Amino acid sequence: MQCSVESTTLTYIIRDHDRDRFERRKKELEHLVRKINHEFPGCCSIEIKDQYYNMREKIEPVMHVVEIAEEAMRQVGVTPKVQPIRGGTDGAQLSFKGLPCPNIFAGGLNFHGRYEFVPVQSMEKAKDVIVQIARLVGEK
Amino acid sequence: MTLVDRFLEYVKFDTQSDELTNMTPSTPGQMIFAQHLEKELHKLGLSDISLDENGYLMATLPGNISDRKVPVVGFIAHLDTSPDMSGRHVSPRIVENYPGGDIVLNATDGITLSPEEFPELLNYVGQDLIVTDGNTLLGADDKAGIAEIITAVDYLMKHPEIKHGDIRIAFNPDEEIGLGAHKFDVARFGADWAYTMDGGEIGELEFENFNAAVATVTFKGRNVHPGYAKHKMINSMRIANQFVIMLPRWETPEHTEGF
Ligand SMILES: [Zn+2]
Repeated sequence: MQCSVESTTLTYIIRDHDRDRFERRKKELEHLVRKINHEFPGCCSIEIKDQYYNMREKIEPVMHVVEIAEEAMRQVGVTPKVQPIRGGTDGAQLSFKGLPCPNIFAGGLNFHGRYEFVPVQSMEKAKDVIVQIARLVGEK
Repeated sequence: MTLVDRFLEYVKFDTQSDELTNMTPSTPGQMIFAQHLEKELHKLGLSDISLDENGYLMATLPGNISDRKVPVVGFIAHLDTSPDMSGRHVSPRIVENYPGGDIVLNATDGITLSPEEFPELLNYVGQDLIVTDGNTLLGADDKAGIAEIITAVDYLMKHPEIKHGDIRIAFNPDEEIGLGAHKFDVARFGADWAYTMDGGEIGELEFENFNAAVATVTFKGRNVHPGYAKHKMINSMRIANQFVIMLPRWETPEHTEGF
């Protein structure tokens, strides 16, 4: 929040994995701005910038892409752990650019800091998963 | 070259990205690293190797199936490391056959990687852990991904008995500042689908993320001298306050749901 008597700015981050709810939340903010302007004409304005969208809507029509990765993991002895990503990723943006792109483990932990580490065995398994995906796609 | 050798070589390159430079790649170290990888891909004998001016390196491992059409699959990893922590002079160490318990990263500064703070460590007892010296990040995010992709491709080349279609690989700059996909030429890449090798712990597979937007709400007040215009003065902070009160509780950043 930045403010003075003359001007105050509020910044909100809107996040929701459900696209409809996401759009609804943006509408609610806009509605509220109109309400404020009803009372104080011309005082309030809003700018909403979408940063990224949930890639799920681009992956769902091509779920075999995920299934192949899961199958490849199982075949090399890795249990797939499907989970949502917190932020946006390259994969999400690429999926919206027309390249469906799920994300697979590289093996590391505690990213972005001094406690980051990576088990060699996890890296080996990630390499095996890549080889196995290539093999599976070749067999289909 | 083994997977681990590759990884240990890659983390020596300082490829920390920077939100503020407005360049692509955001830092010159990423291009130097990309050029190094480009040479390595040539040495391995990959095809269609190209590094563009923005630091996007792409290459093909041609398929060995000729009697039918096989989808082209891509594998992608990013060159940069996080702006949050230095990636300069990374000095990794391998803790072989991790017995459990604390790992002293840096005795001088008393920096310890401890299962008390990071209980996931105990999932890796008996394995070989690559750790930092406590002064920098490691850069497994995402140089582990790069090393895995190149080693996998190397393996496929040495094992022609494994039948596969065309494999495309790409290494891109500036993922950590949210720009990795911006100048990624999907048409040039030409894959039917791809995987980023950029997840964390073993087994992770992700195809769902948040929708995200930033809303900026501006309130204009009117700063009229109170003595002259009792009813005309509108303090922008007061209007903003009213807005905040009217806003549903769950919409404030503190209350947005997380995964
Ligand atoms: Zn990453």
